[in-house]
Amino acid sequence: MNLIRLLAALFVLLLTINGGRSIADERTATSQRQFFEAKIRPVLVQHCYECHSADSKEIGGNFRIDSRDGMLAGGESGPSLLAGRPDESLVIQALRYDGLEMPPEEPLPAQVINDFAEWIAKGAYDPRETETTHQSAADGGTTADPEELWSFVPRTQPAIPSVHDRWWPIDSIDCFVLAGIEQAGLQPTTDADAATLARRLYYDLIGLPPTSAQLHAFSTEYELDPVAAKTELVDRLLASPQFGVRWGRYWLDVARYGESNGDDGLGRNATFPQAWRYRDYVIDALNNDVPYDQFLTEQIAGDSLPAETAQQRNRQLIATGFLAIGSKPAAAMNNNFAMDVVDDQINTVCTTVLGLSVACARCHDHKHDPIPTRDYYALAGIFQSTETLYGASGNEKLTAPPTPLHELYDSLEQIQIRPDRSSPPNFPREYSDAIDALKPSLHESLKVAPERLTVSPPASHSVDRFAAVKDTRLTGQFEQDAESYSLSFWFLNSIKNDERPITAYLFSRAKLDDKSLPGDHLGIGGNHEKDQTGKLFVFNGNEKKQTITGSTVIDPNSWNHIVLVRSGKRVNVFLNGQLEIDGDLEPAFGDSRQYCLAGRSDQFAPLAGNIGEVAIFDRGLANDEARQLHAASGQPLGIRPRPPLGFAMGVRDRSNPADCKIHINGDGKKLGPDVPRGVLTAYRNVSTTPSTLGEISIQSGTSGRAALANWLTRADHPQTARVMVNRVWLHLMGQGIVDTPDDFGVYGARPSHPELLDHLANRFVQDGWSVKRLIRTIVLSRTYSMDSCTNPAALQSDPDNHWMARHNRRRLDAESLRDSMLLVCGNLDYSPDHGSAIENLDMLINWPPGEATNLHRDSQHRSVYLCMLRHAPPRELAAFDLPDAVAIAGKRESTTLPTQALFLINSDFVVDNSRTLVERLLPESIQDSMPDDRERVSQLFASVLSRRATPAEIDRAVGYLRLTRQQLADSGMTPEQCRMQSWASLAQALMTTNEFRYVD
Amino acid sequence: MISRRNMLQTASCGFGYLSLQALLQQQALATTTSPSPNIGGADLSTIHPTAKRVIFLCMSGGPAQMDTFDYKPQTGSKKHPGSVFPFKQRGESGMWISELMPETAKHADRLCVINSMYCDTGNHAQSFLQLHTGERLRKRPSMGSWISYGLGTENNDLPSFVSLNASKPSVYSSEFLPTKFAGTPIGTNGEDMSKATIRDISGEHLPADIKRRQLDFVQSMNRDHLAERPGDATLEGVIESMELAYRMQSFAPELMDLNNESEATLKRYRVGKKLSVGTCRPTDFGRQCLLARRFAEAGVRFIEVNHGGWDQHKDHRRDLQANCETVDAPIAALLEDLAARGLLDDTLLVWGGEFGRPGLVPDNGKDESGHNEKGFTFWLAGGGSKGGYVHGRTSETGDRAVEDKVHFRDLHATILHSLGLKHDQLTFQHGGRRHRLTGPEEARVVHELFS
Repeated sequence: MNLIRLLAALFVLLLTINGGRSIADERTATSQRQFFEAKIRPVLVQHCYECHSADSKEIGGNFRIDSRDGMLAGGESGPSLLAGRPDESLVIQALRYDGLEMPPEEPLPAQVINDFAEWIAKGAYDPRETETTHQSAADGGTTADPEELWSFVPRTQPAIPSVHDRWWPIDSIDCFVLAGIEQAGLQPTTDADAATLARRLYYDLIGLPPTSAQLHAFSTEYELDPVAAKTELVDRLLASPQFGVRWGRYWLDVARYGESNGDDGLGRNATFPQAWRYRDYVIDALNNDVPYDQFLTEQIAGDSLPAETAQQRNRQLIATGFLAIGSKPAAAMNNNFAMDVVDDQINTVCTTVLGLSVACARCHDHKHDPIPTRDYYALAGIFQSTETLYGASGNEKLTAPPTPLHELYDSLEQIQIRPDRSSPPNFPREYSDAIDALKPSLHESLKVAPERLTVSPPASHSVDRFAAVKDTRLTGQFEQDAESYSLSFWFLNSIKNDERPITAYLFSRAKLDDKSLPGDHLGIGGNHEKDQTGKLFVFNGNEKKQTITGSTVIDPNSWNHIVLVRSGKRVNVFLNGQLEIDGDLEPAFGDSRQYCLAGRSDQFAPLAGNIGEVAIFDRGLANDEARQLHAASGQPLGIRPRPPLGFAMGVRDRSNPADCKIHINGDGKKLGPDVPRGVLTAYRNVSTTPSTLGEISIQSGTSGRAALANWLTRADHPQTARVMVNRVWLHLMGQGIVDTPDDFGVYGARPSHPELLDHLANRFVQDGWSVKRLIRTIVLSRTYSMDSCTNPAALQSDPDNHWMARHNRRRLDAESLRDSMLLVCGNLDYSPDHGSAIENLDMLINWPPGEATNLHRDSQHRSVYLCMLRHAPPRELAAFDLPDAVAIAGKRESTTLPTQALFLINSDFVVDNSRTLVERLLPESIQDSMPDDRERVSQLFASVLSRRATPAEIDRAVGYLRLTRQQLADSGMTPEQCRMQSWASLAQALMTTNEFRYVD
Repeated sequence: MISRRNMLQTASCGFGYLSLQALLQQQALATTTSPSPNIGGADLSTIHPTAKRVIFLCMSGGPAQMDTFDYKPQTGSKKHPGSVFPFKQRGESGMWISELMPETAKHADRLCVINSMYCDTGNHAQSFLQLHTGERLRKRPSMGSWISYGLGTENNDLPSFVSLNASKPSVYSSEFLPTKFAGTPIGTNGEDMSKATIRDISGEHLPADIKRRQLDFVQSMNRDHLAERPGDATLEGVIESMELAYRMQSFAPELMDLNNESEATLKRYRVGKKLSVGTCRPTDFGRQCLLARRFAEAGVRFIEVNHGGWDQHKDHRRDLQANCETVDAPIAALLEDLAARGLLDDTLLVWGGEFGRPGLVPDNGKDESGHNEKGFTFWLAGGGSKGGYVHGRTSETGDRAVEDKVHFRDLHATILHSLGLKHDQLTFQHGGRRHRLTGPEEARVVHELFS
């Protein structure tokens, strides 16, 4: 019956909508359309779409109301309407709360229901036949407005605009800027003078002020030949190692660099003792002008790049720290910890490189966002196939399960290539005799079923692969109590090391099937204890619970030789002839003489693989004898892993890369379909020609990070170059072309000068992605050289400096302020500081809560080397808008707060530095007298402000000193104390001035 | 180039000197009860203020209204969420308050509950910004800055706007308003409040009067510097903030020292109690509330008291309970003390977060809640607001406000109104247009909230 009703409805609708079109029909259609738009659609949108549209989390009653077809088709209760017959239409019945009740909260006003009845009576005109509504996640489509997708559109080759004042531009950049200025009816302000320009360049390129001598020298040269002087200075500063200190810090801001986890949500904050290596990597990369595409590739997939030297290998591994240093929420009570780590990585890569926030897509598609959930999980597959190595997490598993770290070596030879042990050992004929020469109490080759061992269930035996076992236990008995004993055998394990809690038990000397496991148990670690994975260990039972562990990871499916020697309390294990374990382990086997091979005494975690050439000795073998047992086998000697040079945080591919399933609503328990690993797809929506930009091809067996890096650094990638040139522009000009450097998406700002942005991005790529050349181009432009002062009218008409008709005056950031103070006071150590204050501390820095530890150490190195503990920043920097290192910070805040003034007035740092400056400036021997004081004030001004003091300033300073000294003397200080104190307070005053703290 | 002398003549019109002049002016005004009438050239004196200062108890994360103040009995229907914690009627007004707020509930007859709040987005960062600044996408002056700008300060030795356990700078920034109206953070998000102080508030290296002379020297340099850079509001702002910092040194340490508070008071406020459960952050909320009272007594105009951790998605019940337990007794103590001191009459308390949460259905075993910006609860107390009054209503399922809806901009307009400020006249010219806290859309003062 429903089918008949539906057909009837369709028939009426077809007549109404698609019938022959006369003018009268058109008129009717228009009025019906108006009726629908005015009375029907708004009600549907407001009251029904939430549950009955493609955007609904669960589509109510399986009924979609957001398209004509959906309404006609109806849902679980049948077709919703019968055109022309309102009383029989379910929609009307539901609105009238007759049987069904819709909307569920409360009935709509009677007038609205009457409108619906009228609409249906007149044929239920519905224009939504061609409208595309929001597609579901599975379609990967969106309805984003093309304007909102501006950053996804391929870069253009904008023509250099012509300008009215054609003498003003130096570089084509200037034409773009001037064209805007002229269009706005403004004009560029005057050029900055030599001293202003030099100070700006020093701060912008190396983050330090010039000395008065440097300024003087520059000004002299500038007068002779401004272009040459400026070019020479710029090149010198770009070549200075201090350049990397300044510009590396900018990258560390966007890389959310921190040396501790930050609050994990449970009040714990674990140190990252190796994070500093990534800091040094970044500084070096900027100094060496590593091309930006390579710089990104190293950070995203450095572990997969080839390396010719150990240094290169180390550098590339350290670079992947980018993906590992993020702040993580506690693993405790968190089902999604692994996904949280992945989320941080996706977010960091997309925000830092592409200026796109994709975080929302973890849980749902968004109407306006071009990034569907499907894309998010395409990326998630890449990072889920990646193992993140962040280290011990302060040895607090509840914060984050501990992981290994990258091992760094100082020569490639140390990364030994292990001998190939994949084939069964082919022993020389004398091997058996050599074993017998040591008088074993038992010797079974296991090439055939043994005589003196019980094999249960029976195994298969062969000449070349000995006994093949799986769930098989070989049991036997010592002939005497044998408090000391030894054992030699060969084995192959076929189970992956992280597959089960214990990869394999190889041998037990214990009373069989005793649950408390009294005795020695030799096994290979699995995924139960991360630091035991794949390594030999010996465990002495549940009562004593002691374990000693080796250091070599034994590859699955390799043939290895073991000699275990117990001599009293001592246990030695030799692996392939090398001493692997050497330690004391309390014997626990008591008077039991039982032992078993290829499994534990309680049959837990038996070996799946092969075992052969077993020999048991009723005594402890000497080390030489043990080594002899291997040497005689003719098989390659094992290689002892040498201790690495150090460790680094980073990432590496998992052994089993795989696609990720959609997590419905971001929940790890509700999984949707698999999404093939890939990248963002929104590029399709803006491209008129077929484009490969939404695709990558991932080499099989890899996570896909290398392919991702490759994609991000494509020369034609729309965002990568734009985002980076905007970051550079922001740091040099004080404002971005796009005001939201980390958001080039729907919610971000639009470029103020889109052509300039593309022009710069094109040049950047053409110049081989060289950051130094990009900076050089910008700072040598006329635009950069403008004064920061302008006339009041210009200020009034463009207060935000949207048109860049002047330079932006800026406050020194936290690091530059501290470094400048150290420099002018003669205390700055230019050399890079080695390591970190916490490099040897794996700990929680604020546990228990409230016991925050100050781990910072005194330092006179540049601020980038201070210990950047999250949520416990260095005191000298904290007041001046240091980023929190949790979020990506392309642009720092620049606040003015009384707390900053208090730092300048009262902090030990400022007070102490002022004192040392004065001690340096005032030799003890010189007596105080007026002419000398005037001279010394001049010197002080030159030291702190790099300029000559005016006579008025000297008068004021001398007056200040006199009164202050007097007053201090009255309070009982010695003349020497008075002198130092008054001068120090004057030095402090100069460092507190706006002149010192702002750059024009 | 303007000469230095010229500048000295013209600079007295700039903000750089406002503090020096305004100081005297404000001191004169401090003796009268009405706020400074002539800000921005607008006539603000026609509204009778019922409040002089605001304490904003900011519950960041989105408090679950259906388990605190908006009672929705469970119906047993699978699709019909409701309150999962028991409610009781309180006070003479019979207001429904959940058992999670037993101490605050004792003050039911002082509370003016708005159950029909709504806002524009369920995105934390944006909604939090909108709650504080009226704008969710761009950085704008914070509500506390607007109010300081409108009313000036009652105490020249303290900032007019402080943020206790402050969140990110964008929510206490003055942005384009003069920087002297920026909030001063005391303790940043997550920091242990018992140790939080205004850092470097004192220094023993110089006697106070030499520090004053030193600062005079700095300021003379700064004024010369500014004279060559006319119109730079930031540099003027620094001059302001240096002065304020100097005055704070003598005043703030004593104010923040709780040693002279009685044992009983510390206990009532639960000073030192720090719960760390799930999303509930271990901050010393009691200390914050007691400090808020002391700042209010000292004449700070706008005091924000932050408590983070109301974003309880998983473990809704456990985390909500912990959050409520953390704030309940301290808020009750604050209400009690303000009332006892007569301060509640002219101090407006505002409680709420960036949005609410949908309720739970106990039968399906879920203990998770999401965000709901379409309907949630705020409450006011004191400052002339109507006690024991419940305004507005959400739908039967509590999923949206349906009656007497109040948007953030309406709340902002109402708060300004209580302070005697007209929201459409408290404006500031910036970038070619006049800005106001309530933004371009029409805001409504909710007069019903006041008796």
